[in-house]
Amino acid sequence: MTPNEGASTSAFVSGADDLGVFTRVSVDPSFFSDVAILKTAYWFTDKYYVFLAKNRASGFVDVEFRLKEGDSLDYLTAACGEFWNSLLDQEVRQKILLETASVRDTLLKKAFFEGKARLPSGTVSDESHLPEAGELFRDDRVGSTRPDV
Amino acid sequence: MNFTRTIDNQIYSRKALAVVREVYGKYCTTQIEPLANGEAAVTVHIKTEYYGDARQVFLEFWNYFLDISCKQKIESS
Repeated sequence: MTPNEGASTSAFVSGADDLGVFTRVSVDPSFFSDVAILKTAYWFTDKYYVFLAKNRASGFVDVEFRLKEGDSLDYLTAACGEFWNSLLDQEVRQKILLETASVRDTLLKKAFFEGKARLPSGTVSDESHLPEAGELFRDDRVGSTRPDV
Repeated sequence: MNFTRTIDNQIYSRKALAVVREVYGKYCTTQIEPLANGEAAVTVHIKTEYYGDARQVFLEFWNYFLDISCKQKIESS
């Protein structure tokens, strides 16, 4: 078997049409989740024109890249490499997100529960002895000037 | 001047298309033809006054369409 034969999880195509040069990679959705593909594509729309198409024949998702300015095939080829790295990164993040979902939920619940915890029932705010304007320390009725015992 | 692309409903949503049509209505008009298997052919007709920037209008239209579709899918996942 030569290196190009057998099952492949990716493919790379480059070409040109009425809209200029483009590169295209094909992503196997059985290896990468839809969410990882969409999140990665979303980040790449900032720097490139990106188009996603579902290839009915192969079942792969074709991701097409075009430059916003210029027509350098080298830049587009580099973009495809960046895309694979980012896709792998995103896929790992998704997996970790799923694996740690229960721990994250527990921590969140705990944090919100503590934030909502009630004061002990005996704690009543009594503001009847708040000093009034002009009141001197010698008029202290609550004993705040008394030394600690 | 017009360009056609075939989209899959699982990636590009109708809701996102409605948004992008409205936003880019100044620059182009769109025509949608539903196909089999949840696909649709979307033709973007660039308005004559923007023929000089046809490539940019068309590709920006599709980038924005993808942006909104991705956001919707990610938020609902």
